[in-house]
Amino acid sequence: MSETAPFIIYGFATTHDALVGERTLIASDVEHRTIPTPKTLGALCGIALRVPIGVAADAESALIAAGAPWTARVETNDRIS
Amino acid sequence: MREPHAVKRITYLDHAATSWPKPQPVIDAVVMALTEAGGNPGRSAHTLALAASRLILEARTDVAALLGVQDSRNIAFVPGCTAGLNLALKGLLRPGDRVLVGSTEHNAVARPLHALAATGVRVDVVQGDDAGRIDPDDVERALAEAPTRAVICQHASNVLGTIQPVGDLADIAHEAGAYLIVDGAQGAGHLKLDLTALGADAYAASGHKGMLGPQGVGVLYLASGVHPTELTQGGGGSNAGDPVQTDSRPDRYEAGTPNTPGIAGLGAAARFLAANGDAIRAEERRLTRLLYEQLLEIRGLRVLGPPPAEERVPVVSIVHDRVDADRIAFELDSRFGIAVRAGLHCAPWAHTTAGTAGRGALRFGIGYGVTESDIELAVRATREVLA
Repeated sequence: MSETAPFIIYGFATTHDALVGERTLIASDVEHRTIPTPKTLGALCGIALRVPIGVAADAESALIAAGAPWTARVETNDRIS
Repeated sequence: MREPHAVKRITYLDHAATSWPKPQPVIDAVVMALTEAGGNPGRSAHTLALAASRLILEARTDVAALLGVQDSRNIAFVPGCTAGLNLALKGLLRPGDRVLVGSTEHNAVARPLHALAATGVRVDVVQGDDAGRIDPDDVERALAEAPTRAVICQHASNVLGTIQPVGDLADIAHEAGAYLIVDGAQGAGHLKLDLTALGADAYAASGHKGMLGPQGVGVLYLASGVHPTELTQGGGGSNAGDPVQTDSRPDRYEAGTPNTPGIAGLGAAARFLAANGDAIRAEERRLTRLLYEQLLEIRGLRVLGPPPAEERVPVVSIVHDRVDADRIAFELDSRFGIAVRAGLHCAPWAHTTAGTAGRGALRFGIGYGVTESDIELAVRATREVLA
């Protein structure tokens, strides 16, 4: 069975906003993964950002500073990949 | 074995219709989009789709920077300048509204306004002089006559080359509570733009003319707080479960699969212009003046638009007292390989203003890649055709 870990998943109003978020996390060197928006976030847009819970605070600071706010946030256990 | 067709050398002076050849980075970006980023952007999160989405984000960011727009979400990619103008006009105007419009507008404005007039929009034309220049005082007087929803004008004429005082018109329109909607087909790329400072509420630009991108893509800038009703509803990746079109930008105005290769090419063009635009524009101005001055020396020719000392975009249109424009264009192409455009240039209003509605004109359009020897050939060939 695959190993799981706790993550925060961020949803955005548009793909544009999600990718601005991705760009922000890359620039801030925050570990993340760009994933299809999970059902738990509703159908906000096709792309969401998944961040290990341990770096969520760093991610949120970076997103806020960049003016790339998320519109949905959910904590989940997910397979590490 | 068949003989290959001879490749005729083309002296391309039809940049006001579309730029050619494209800078190599534009071609490379289109190929890259079709090969390495071939997914549908904004929907899926697999490698190819994300690559396409990232191309579009990069292009939107770079186009916004080129145009002086701080929030790139205010840049919508549209199929072309005409589509952008239709969106702005039909999305903002309602029956009973009044608009003021310049007298040299292209059919991209004139025809939507004609259709809107049939729905009850009142269209009043502010007459320019024979070079098409709009006097801001005339606009101010017209605005005082009746409540007005929008002032609409070209940034620059595709026939006369005249540059309109768009910044002044924005101030005057806003003072009267009206929008300023600008047709930037001939402005973007040929003029250095700061749309935020310019003050236009909506500015539509062609991607494939002075901006040097591929055909099939254009830009509509909408200032924050300006919210035309979208003309097209459909998929976009956001709020897929909601039957109502999202009001989030840019998705609101980009329903359906976008022209990713075109947008990628336009993004590359924006980066190319950011690096080389000042030099390109300076050369365009120099060659335009050279062409204008040399054409003036040909007997029987009338050169339209403002005199060479006045700043203009790089188009020079001529009429001859004896030879029709279409004949000159045919001779230039068939005998000298020179590509120009004859006729009304989809701008009958401009020709009426210039007094050439009955016969049209021949237009030389200068742009990236045109050389002084091209201009010398064009003048020599025109002289021979008219001899």
